[in-house]
Amino acid sequence: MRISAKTLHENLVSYLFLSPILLFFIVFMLIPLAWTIYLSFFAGGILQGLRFAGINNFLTLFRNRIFLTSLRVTGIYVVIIIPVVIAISLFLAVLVVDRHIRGKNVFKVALFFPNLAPMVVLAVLWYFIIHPEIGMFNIVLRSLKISPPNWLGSSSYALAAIILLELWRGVGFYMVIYIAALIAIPNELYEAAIIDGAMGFRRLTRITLPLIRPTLLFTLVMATIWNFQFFDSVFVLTRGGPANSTSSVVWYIYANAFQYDKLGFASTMAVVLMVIILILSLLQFKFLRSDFYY
Amino acid sequence: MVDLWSAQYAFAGQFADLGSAGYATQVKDGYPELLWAIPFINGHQYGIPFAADPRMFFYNKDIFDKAGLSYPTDAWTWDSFLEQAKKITTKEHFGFVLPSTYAGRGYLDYFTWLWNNGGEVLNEKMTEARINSPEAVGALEYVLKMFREGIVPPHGLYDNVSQEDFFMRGGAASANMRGITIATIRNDFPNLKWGLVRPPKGKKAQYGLGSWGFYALAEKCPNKAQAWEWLKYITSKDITVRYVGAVGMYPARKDTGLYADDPERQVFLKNMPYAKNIFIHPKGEEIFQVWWTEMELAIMGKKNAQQASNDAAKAVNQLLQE
Repeated sequence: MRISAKTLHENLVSYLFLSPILLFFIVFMLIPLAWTIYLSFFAGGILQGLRFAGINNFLTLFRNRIFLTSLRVTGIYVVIIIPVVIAISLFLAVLVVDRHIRGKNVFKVALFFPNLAPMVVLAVLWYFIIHPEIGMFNIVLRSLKISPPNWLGSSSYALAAIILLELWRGVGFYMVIYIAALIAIPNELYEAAIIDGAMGFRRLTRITLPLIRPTLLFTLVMATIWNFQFFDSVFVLTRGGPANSTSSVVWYIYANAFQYDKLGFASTMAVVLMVIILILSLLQFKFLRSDFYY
Repeated sequence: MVDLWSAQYAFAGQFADLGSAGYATQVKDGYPELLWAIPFINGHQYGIPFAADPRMFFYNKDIFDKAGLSYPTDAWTWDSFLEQAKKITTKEHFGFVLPSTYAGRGYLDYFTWLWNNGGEVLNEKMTEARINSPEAVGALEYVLKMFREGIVPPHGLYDNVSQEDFFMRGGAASANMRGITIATIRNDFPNLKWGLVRPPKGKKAQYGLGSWGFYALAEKCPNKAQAWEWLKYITSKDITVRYVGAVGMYPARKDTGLYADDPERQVFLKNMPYAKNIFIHPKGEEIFQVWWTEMELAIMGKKNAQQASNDAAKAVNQLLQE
């Protein structure tokens, strides 16, 4: 089929407009990705030099105790934070969208506010909030006659401290997305449901959740991608300690690449992490995707 | 300028050997032998020592006065330190602050206790772990006692630097702090009455932590002769006095006359010969990480001192063999 000059011209104009972002994508995403995959077959680092190691890095990776610990820590973190942050955000969004709630704009701003600050700032603030001696959190716990934990000094609580920090930050972001999805649902559907005698929970499960399913899928996939890569809070608060109890995979990648001069090994871990996230995202799309209309 | 954390550069041959290039002998006599040896790594003179930020024990005179205890002296021992710290610990302040987090290099303070009991992380050739020797285990047991008896804040609260703030605000009666802190105390806490003392005498030694930095020349530098002239200039007496004096660090050169009128800083200078450095190894960062993980498990009560030390030695030896 011959392409007309007009179509060709239109296509070229489209690519011209797309070229800046395409260039950005190639230079800052595609090339680094390809380079990381290439480096994953090498041992060594920037200072000591790189030597070809074949698949040796991949074979030794799953015998590396600290990597396995990091994988476990990341897994625990993700399994807890994703459902909790989505559930809380959705709950808050439903509350805030309710016409009968007064002052909801204040709540919206207060809940979204942590999202505006860089994670480094939030982490430093959080350190003072959970400080065992002077932290507001522990003062409240003591007033409730609950013995406050030494959050960052205990391998049992340090990860919980990081999860709570990420919750505090993440809830506002997802809530805003859910608010947008909720207000797009036609009100007539709820009115019809009320006329038919459907109570609140039934309206939630039969109208709200099915109609925001695409948004739920989007947030689930984004939450999976982002939370598998948690790093900032670990870097500021714990550096993977105490005793590797908060060592995320990305933290261990960073330590290998920039502290231990093992760029090859770090690249191997990065590739493995990418594959894990890719598989999970594809599974989410396969099993959770559906188009639902009334 | 290079510090101890740049060992990888030295071992990767990124620095020029000033000895074989004929540069080092031009300035060597201006430095004490002990300090000149610091940038001598792997058989090569990789730099010129420049400045240091050594540590000594600071003590809060007001807290000691309130407790009715006499101030510590250089003759104090581990036993008298522990006894004094127990007596002085109250709800308002601890007897001592021992940073213990991996974050912020809290483990640096531990070396004083390790060395002074005769322990080391590695053997002299740095080919094998020594962290589970009886001396090293003894040091760990002593440190664990400090946590168990409650004379130091709980684990995980303070690092290398935040412990200084804690001391200056009256949180602890004593702390092992950097010389550079003197400037902060004078500027920000002028009412704090404080004194200086060497670390408590251990069974084998009475070292403090050194923390030296040195200047090196890049091996790939195409104009080494000119770069060397620049290096000589920035490590000359005048520049050393101006730069080191301005930031409150301590000079490596013998002839600066710096702090001649400052009795407190003179104490630091006088104790330079006892300021030991941590080992320099290309896998140093990784060794600290695996070693301190086990020490933290002991501090948190998840392992006893011997178990933690044995596991640390195993992990370090595994690293050394890779």
